[in-house]
Amino acid sequence: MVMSSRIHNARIHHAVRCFYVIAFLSGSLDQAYGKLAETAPDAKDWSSSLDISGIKDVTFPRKVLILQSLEKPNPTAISFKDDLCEENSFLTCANAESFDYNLKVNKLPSAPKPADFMKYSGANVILFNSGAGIDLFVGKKPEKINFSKAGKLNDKLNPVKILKRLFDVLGYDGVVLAEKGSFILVGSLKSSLQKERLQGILLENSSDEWIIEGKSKSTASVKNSGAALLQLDNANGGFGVFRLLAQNTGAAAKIGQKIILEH
Amino acid sequence: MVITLENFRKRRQKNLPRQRSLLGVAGILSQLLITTSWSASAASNNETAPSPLKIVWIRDLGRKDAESIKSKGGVKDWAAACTKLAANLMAGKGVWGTGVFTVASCYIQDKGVDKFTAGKDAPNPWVLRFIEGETEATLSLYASENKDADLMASAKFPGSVWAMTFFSDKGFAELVSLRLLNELPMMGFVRKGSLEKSLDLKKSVAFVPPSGKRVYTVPAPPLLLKTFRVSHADGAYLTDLTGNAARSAFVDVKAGSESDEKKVMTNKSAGKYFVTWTFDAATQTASKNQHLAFHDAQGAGKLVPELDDSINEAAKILDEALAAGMFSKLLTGIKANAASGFIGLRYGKQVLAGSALLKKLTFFGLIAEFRGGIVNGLRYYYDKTSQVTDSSNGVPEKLGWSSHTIGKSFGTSLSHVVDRIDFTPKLGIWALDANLVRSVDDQGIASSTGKFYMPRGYSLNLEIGAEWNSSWYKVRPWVSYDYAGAVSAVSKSTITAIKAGLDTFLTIGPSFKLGSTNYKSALLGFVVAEKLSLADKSVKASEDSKIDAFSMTLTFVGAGVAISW
Repeated sequence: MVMSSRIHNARIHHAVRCFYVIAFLSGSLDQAYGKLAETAPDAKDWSSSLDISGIKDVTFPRKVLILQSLEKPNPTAISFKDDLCEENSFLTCANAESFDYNLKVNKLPSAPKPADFMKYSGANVILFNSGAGIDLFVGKKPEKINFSKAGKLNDKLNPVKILKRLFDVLGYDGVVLAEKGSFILVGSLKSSLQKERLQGILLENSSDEWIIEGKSKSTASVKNSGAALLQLDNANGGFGVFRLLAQNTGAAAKIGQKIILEH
Repeated sequence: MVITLENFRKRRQKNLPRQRSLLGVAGILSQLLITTSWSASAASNNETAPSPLKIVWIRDLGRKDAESIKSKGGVKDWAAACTKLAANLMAGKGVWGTGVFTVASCYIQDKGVDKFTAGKDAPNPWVLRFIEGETEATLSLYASENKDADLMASAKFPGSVWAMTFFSDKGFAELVSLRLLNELPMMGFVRKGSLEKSLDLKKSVAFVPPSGKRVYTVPAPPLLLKTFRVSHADGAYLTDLTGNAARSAFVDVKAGSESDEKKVMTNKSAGKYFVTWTFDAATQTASKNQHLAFHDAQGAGKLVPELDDSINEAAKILDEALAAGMFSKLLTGIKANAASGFIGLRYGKQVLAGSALLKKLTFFGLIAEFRGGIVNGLRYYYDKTSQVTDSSNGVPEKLGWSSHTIGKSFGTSLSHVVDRIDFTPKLGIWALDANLVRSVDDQGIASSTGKFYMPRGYSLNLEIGAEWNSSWYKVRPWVSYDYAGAVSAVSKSTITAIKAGLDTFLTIGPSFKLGSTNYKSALLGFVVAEKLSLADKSVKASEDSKIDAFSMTLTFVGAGVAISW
């Protein structure tokens, strides 16, 4: 009797455990399945409804001003073929003629700094020829970064190559522009979003950092742990819609969080 | 499993298969709910469009002047001055078709509080603060009412107790508004396919100072305008260039032809011009759907030094004029209103065959015309014939008349047909003394005579004329109808005159300068054909030998001299 009672209790206990395991698994799977079943937004629609210029205090390239040099007071910008930057990335390149005119209609300080040229072009990245190579300024309080030790910027260059190099220097492949359910709109280069089911990793504590890799001091403060695993669902130009596959913590994705893509 | 950048990089480098397994493990172990307080913002609308404007007058001259603000006169004067200044800052209404504001309201600041004076309030206005200091008057234009708002433009001129009144002068208000607009990131907004404006490169203040100098120069308009969408972010105005507008015409209104560009730029001596900028196709298309701004292609503030000189020049003249006192102001205002015109003397003879009496008639005339200000179009004529006599018919005949006539012409231009067509109603006073023979008998003795006497008869006159002119000539055919009736106890004579004439003015004489005014001399030529009908209603039917009406046809041809200014 005692034995049968023990067996009975063990069966109940087992049944309860099975119930919890099944319930747990089914809940988790259901959650996981739910994420898979969720319809992904269209990258074209999503990106066109988003005004990137309206995002404040961004810490990623948004508009790039490419200058022949940083000669003061009025440096000359380089113009590329219309919309080449926009067609091949989520970035825009400042129009040279408009930049030149902006300097004419705004009141510049007597000794303008790179931050002033950013302000009067709407750009947050400046590339310019410097000595034997090319230098770079990013952000509101820019510090000069070595972009290339050789070569010169000119209007014959393919701007897409310049942008590719820019991402290499900054140490990431894309940034979070928006989030919707289990999907993230990522801004990147068109050439980086060609692979089907491309996976990427969302970097933890990276939303406030301009540079992930490199010699900048800012690199030291970046924790390199991945926050989540992403998979490309669909892309349009330099915009990709990524599905969130797995996440290390429950922290929310932040605008400006950086992403490394598999190659 | 912890996803690290390091192991991801390793996987990437080795081109490992995608970690699909992560789906299961991480999916089970993680709660995959991502929430964020941020959501994609709707398209931000920081496009710059025409805005309302609030103009505040702040006097900083001490207690006495602060009190004067409260006086009815101060408030009334400010309302008038502010309205005039604001008018030139409204979109499309300023000099050259400039202007960036939609509506304006005028305020006076009293004890730190802005009090409404005139105009129309609207939300989120730009603010123009006019601070009337003892040594300097300043205008500061801010992009909003916030205390820390961006200062967009500022102008200043030497302090004067009349500083606020300066804006009552149309030219001064135009100058200051153009000065402010030129410093802004946009000088105006595209409203139609072209900008068309008449303008003066040499302007006169409305009040004449004792020195007589009241002319100042205005910069010539830009050759090329840029058109663009403009947005505002972080204190910067960002343009997205759309196209341009080239100055397609710069016509000397007086000469009726395209101006010599170099001459205009260097001399600025000529008066009124008509300037046109034509927007290119890209601009015209884009402006249908969005606000497009325009500015001098050279950039903002390029004309500021020249405009500052003009403002200082005009302010100095206005201060001198207004300081001369209200009587002088009135007097000089009248002088200013007769800004241009001419006065001429002419002499002619009656040339059409007629009686011995009529052949003797000669004509002397004084003619004056004023153009400018409220007396624009005022005309005065004094016409007098010689008092001629003849007794060849056995009866002493005599004839002579004179008239003072004043009228105001209302004219318009009919392009390509006539430079000006005008309509002039007149009032006058006539005097007539005539004893005329209508018929003679077989012996040549007068059989019926008429006496017409009008010591004073008021007249009504209507004249219609057309005018073709250039810088050196003016030709003016005209027709008129006069009716004058006697106001006399002994006579009830009337005169009806139907006239047709041709006046010519040749500005080929020498020029000279008196004070600050340039004078030009001209030769006049004229021919007038007129049918003069005299009547005397006091004549009774029983007086067989007397006539009650007499008509004559006369033609005067003559010449004269005139001075124009």
